[in-house]
This record gives sequence, C-alpha cells and structure tokens, in this order.
Amino acid sequence: MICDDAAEYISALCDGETIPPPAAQHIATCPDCQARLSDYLAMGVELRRAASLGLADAVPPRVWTKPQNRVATWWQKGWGPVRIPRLALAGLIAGILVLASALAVNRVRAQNTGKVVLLNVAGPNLPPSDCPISTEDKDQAPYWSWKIGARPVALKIRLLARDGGRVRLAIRTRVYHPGEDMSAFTRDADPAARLQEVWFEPGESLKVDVPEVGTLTLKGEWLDHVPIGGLLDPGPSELRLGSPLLLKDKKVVGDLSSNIGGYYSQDTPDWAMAFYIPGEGRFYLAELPMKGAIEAHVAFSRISFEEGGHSWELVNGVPVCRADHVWILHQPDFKMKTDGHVAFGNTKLVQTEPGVWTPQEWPR
Amino acid sequence: MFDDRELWTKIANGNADAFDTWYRETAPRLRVFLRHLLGDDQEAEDVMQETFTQIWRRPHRFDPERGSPRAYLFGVARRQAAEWMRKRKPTDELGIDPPAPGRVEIASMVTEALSHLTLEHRTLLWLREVEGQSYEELATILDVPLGTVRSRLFAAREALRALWCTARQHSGGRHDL
Repeated sequence: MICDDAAEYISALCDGETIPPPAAQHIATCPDCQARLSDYLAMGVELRRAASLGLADAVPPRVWTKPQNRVATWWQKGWGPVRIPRLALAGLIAGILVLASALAVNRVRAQNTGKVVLLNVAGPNLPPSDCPISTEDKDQAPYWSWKIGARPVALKIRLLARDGGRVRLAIRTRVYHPGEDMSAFTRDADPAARLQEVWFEPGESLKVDVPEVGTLTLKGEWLDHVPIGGLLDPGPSELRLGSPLLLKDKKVVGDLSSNIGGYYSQDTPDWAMAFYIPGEGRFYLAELPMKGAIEAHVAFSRISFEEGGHSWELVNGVPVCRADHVWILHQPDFKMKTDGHVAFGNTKLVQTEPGVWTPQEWPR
Repeated sequence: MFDDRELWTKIANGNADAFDTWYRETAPRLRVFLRHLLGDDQEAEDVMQETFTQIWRRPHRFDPERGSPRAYLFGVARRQAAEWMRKRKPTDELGIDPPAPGRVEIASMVTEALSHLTLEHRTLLWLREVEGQSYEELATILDVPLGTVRSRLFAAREALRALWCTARQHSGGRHDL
C-alpha cells in the first residue's frame, strides 16, 4: 500500500466510512497519511466553525401567501369588474341592438315575403302530394279526388285569409257513393260537403281529423313564387298542365289556372284529364287514343288542334309531355248541370276495343 | 426538531405557518452555504429567497422517497446558484466579500481557499462537512451516481488542501485557522 492508494480512504475515514485493513494499517504508520488525515479533519472543523459564525445573522421575516392555481385566478378575474369607457359601453349596446333587430327583421321577412304556400297534403289512401296556393289569388282551390274502398273521396282546400306567418284554410270534404255526381263539389256548391276551417302555419305540421275520411296531415312552407313543379323535362309517361289557357281562333275562351292550383300532373296513361269551359263544352285530354278523339300536336308547352272549323290551342306554363301528340275528345254540346263555371278533373279510361279507350263519365 | 414527513404534508397542503417554521429553521444555514458558494452576501440573500419562493409555489416537486426536505432545499439552492453564476457577467470575479467588522474570522485561509474551488467541489465539501449530508443525499443533490460521490469528495478535499498548504507556506505557519 502506498500513500496515493491510501489517500482516498483517508477522505472516506473523515466521512465516517470504514476502510480496508491494509489501508488502515498504512495510515496508522505513515506520517504523510496522518498529516493528510489531520489536514482533512482541520479543514472540516474550520468550515463548520466559519458556518457557525454566519448562523448568527437572523433571516428576514417573510409572509407566505397561499399559491393560487391559474384556473382559479382566471375564474376570479372573469367575475371581476372591468373598467370600460361609457362611450364604448354605449356603442357596444347599440351594436347589439342593431344586430338583434336586424336578425329579427330578417326572420320576419323570411316568413312574410312569401306569397305562396307550398302545401303538402297526405291522408288515408292519399299519398303525400304538393300543391302551391297563392295568397293573392283567392280563387285558387286545389282539388284532390281518390277512393277509400269503393267510395270516391273529394277534397278541396281554399286559402281564406292570411295573418302574418299563418294562413286560414277552408277544408271541404265529402265521401261519395259509387256513381254519385261529384260536379257540384268542384263548384263548392255541394251542400252535403263538410267544411272545416283551420289556422295553419307553414313550417309546422297540422293534423286535421275528418269524419269518414280519417286524419289529414298538412305540411307546408312559404315560397316567393309558384314553383314550376318537378323537373322541366316531363317524365316518360307524364302528362301535365300548368296554368293553362284555352284559345279558340287565337282568343282566350277559358282559364283553368284557378281550377288546377297552378299546376297539375299525372303519371298514369290510362287516365284522362277533363275540363269544362262554359259555352265551349267538355274536353278530354289523354295520351292514349280515345274513341271519337282527334290527334293534337304538342310543341313544348302548347297543344294545338283543328276541330269544328276552328283552331284550338291550350297554352301552358310547363312542357306538357315527351310525346309530340296527345288525344283530344271535344264534346261541344255538353253542358254541366250548373253551367257558368270552369271545371277541371280527371277520369279513368276504359278500353272498349283493341287500341281504343273511352273515358268514364266526368263529372261522375 | 420536527417530523419531516408531517411537516412536508402540511407544506404541500399550502400551510403557510408550517412553511414559515421550516423557513426560519433552515434559511440561516442555507444562506451561509450560498455565501460561500457565490461569494457575495446580497446574491446569496437573493438566491436564498428565490429558492424558498420556488419551493413554496411548487412543493409537490419534492419527492420524499428521494431524500429529506433539507437535502431537496440545498439541491434547489445549488441549481439556483449555478443558474445565477451562469447569468453573471463574464468579467465578474468570484471572491469572498471583504470581511466586515466582527466577521474577520470568517475570512480564514480555509474559507479563502474554498472560494477558489470549482462550484461542485465547494458544494460537495460544504454539504458533507457542514451540513452532514450522506453519500446518498449528495448523489441526489448533485445528480451523480452514488459511487462517484466518494471519489469526488476526495478530489475536492485534495484541491482544498493544496490551496490551503500553499497559503500556509506563504504565511509561514501551519496552525493559523
């Protein structure tokens, strides 16, 4: 063992550690190592003595404020008052009022600027169908006809009045017996028809219980125009009329727009549309050839034909069909029981011989 | 004396009285340590206050499993002092303040020699000789392996002894403590 090897053990001795016996024996007999041990001990003593002198100085008193977490501070700050100039506050309030009133005005306008209610009606055996009703044309009264069992059902809805965002509707219904005449219903002249008046607000759903018929469901929305109805291009077997005018020798003799609610479409070829013009008789219009009918030329939205030495034209607001012709059966001598009103409806075609169909009597 | 674990539980719960008790108990010793570490009374005071403030704000950083609160205190103070010295202007020189009246004895040859050691050697010697920190606590404070502590302590003692012996030779005496 040499002094260099023992030196680190001397340091360990000063730290209260035990050391290997050879190192302990060397330190006991080596004057240099004893001198090192003595110096190490003296240094420790001197350091502790110097520290003791410094401990006499008192430390300054301190106040320990409780640490606050950041979230709590933000929460407290959030509820604390804030200084804001009066003009800035007034401007802020004015801004809020302007924005709020603009929002309210826009909402009211969105409800009130519409002039047309797009009504959707559904009921037992009556699939949902859309029908626009103008608030400016009180003569419009869409008409539905379908069957519940063997009994025909007639439904007509007329817009009576408007109050802001809601409308007053007159719902006229009647369930007929098979073969019973329904012509008076189309003229609102059937005293046996049931009349109910309801307030309806477009955007909401309204259920109306109708005796014998069941529950009718009305839905709707405000529009700013009468929609053209479906796609511009007619379906493959679709036949449709939109606000039609009947011209005879280029003079208007009939306006059917009020009777069909602006737009009427059917997608059943074995049905014919039928309308009556006072003084001009009854017209059947179909895609299938009818007995006694003449072929009419279709050009986009116009149906034209020659009959009885006169030129006739049915001018529409929508394309009529995909075919370039339809069949018109004109019965000029027909008169409805209560003459003087334009009437519109539809009726089933019955095949009476190969390739020839005959319309069932209309009005029934 | 007080029970470290019980005291620290109170401190961790934000008990200001408990922390103040601990502050008054440990601050004088910490300040002396920092004086010899930094060589400047005012800087030692500032670092000491900063050390206590940091611990008061974030007491949960102390892990009782890794040592005593006092060892943790000196460890934080050492890091604060090292940071302080790092920010110190390069032209600043480390040195013990001129001895004030009544404190002449502090400026002995050993303490003078101590001021010329590296920061790590000063820290090691002081914490071992004055504060009586164990090897395990020193390893935690200095963030070094336990086996390294003994060899570094020896190196620190040798460095201090060499400076001290040189000073003794210049002064011509041996027992001038």
